[in-house]
Amino acid sequence: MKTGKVTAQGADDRKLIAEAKMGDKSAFEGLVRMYSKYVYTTAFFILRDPHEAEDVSQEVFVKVYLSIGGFRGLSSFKTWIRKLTVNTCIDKLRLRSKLKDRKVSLDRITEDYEVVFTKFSQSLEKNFLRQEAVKEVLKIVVDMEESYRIPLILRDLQDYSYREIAELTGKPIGTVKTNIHRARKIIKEKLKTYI
Amino acid sequence: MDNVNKYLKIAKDAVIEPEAEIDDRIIDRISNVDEMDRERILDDKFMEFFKKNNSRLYLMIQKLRSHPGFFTFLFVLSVIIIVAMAGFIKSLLSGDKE
Repeated sequence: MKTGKVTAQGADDRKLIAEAKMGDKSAFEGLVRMYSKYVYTTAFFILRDPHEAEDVSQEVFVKVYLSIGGFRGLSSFKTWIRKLTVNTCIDKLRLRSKLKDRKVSLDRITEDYEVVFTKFSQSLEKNFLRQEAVKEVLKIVVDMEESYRIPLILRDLQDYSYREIAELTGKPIGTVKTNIHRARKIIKEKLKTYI
Repeated sequence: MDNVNKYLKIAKDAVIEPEAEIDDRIIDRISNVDEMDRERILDDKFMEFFKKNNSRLYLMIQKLRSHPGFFTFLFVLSVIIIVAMAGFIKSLLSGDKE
């Protein structure tokens, strides 16, 4: 894992969305550049495969491109694109499990990915150890089995409610809560050995 | 568990840097969207998702269902405030009469 830095995305995307809705292609390209890494990261953590993550990124942006004219903006663009990405990834996982392709995907996890922080707070920048710990946490999450990884990512990284996760994964809320609790416990245990 | 929660919170702001720049490939893909893509990608499932996320009522119901405790608290608080205000106004009016 290498370290990098990205400046905070302070720019307002509303103007770009309004222009993209009017058919301005360069405005849409601006949205792609603004959100591509976010979409790719979400897909990568769920699917654990860089090629599939890129395929999902392309699919998501094509969906957005074809439908942005009708986007009413009742939720933020980020929320919309996040839901679209998660749904597309869950569909891929269902297809995988139908094809019983889980083992193949586990073998294809790449160790060489670069984690960068978008809101690089000063304290985090100064605290190299904390940075490394966060990267270690992400590595543990990526290595987790699907039943723990997906609910944890949706809850702690994507802010989904327990009910939404239960609906998406087709599991009872109680199971979702238990799995998230266990996933956090796994991280805690593995972090102890790391530190 | 505190540290884990703290690290997970920071991790929300982390992104994976794709091996190669994918922006250009996405833009290139969009430039080559054709009618077949439109039919294949904008399928019934997507259209249902799109409709739901463009519906104010659906989004409001989702919010209510996801945070029932918060909305119950707001409702109870509103009722208490209304009852308290009604009592206050009533006491003012009865004070005027006296």
